[in-house]
Amino acid sequence: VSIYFKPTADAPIMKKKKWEVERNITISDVTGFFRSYLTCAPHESLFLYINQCFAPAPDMTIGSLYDCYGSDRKITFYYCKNQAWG
Amino acid sequence: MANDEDVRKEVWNGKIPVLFRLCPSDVFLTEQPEPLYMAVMRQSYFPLVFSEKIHKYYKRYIDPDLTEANIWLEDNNGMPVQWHWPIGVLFDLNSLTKVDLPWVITVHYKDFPQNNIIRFTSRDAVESLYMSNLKEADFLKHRGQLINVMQRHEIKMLFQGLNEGNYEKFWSVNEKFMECSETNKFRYIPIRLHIKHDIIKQYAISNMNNENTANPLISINQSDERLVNINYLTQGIKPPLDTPLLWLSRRLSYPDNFLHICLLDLPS
Repeated sequence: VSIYFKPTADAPIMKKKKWEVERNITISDVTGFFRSYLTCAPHESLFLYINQCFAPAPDMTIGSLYDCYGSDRKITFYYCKNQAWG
Repeated sequence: MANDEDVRKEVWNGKIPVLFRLCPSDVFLTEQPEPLYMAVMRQSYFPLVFSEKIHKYYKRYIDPDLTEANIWLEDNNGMPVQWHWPIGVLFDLNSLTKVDLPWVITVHYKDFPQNNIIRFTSRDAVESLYMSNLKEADFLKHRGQLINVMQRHEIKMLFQGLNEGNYEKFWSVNEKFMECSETNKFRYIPIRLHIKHDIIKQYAISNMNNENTANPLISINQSDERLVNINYLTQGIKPPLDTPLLWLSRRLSYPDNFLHICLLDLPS
């Protein structure tokens, strides 16, 4: 499936916004990869949100979330380094 | 049939007997602590339980440098407990193979399995996890409109009610999330399917047509007839297979407003 990242607030901008990933990878895989891509220090936090609203559980798969919240054949994640929607 | 209130109360009051034992290698003194027996609420989360009671009991037996932020739990299969799910869900998953009571949980203070579980540093962290799940469920049910117009203190009452095990406090607010009338229908029914030793799947079942009268597994995959006769476990019970999905969702959902369904396996 296609995932699309949008920065929020003070988050650094990614060069590549759209990624193709397997359905069975989990949110924690995405966050892990994302941290290294943005070179996030271990003490820095990184938050992912869907629909500018809630943060998905770390062991949820992208495929499952895509089925629930995807539209236009992609799912959009908003990311930021501070909690944006608590 | 029993009225809604009775069913909700029964579900809310569900408790699981747990035997907590401290991992022997974490004991600092020569004296070994006695095991700790507790009846924990199905609806609650483990981090809410250990921050007060468990740590208070064990702290004099362990290395004084270790704090409750080091705690992690291991279940009777030697796996770290995925404590970001409600306790009832974890127990049901475990009891799919065999039920052993009390449920034996080992408390560890060392070697935190960083890659397997989330670290909860405070009660606020549990609250924010809970709120996020609730928002997600509300998004599916009412496009998140309900939670956005709610007063802050009402939202706070939900978590407080859960934390204190106070049925009236919790349900006085939760009632609003569960209302479902002709004019105010759930858009989707939020379901999480936990399959033992497998990934967790999440489903949003449309409630726009009135076909959801059957077993949730059928609603998930209508083309798969093998699902018709599968027993599933939610809130510790096996509901009759013809129980309507909406009925289940409004009464047997966990406090995060998701219906958590546990299965041993999907037919292959």
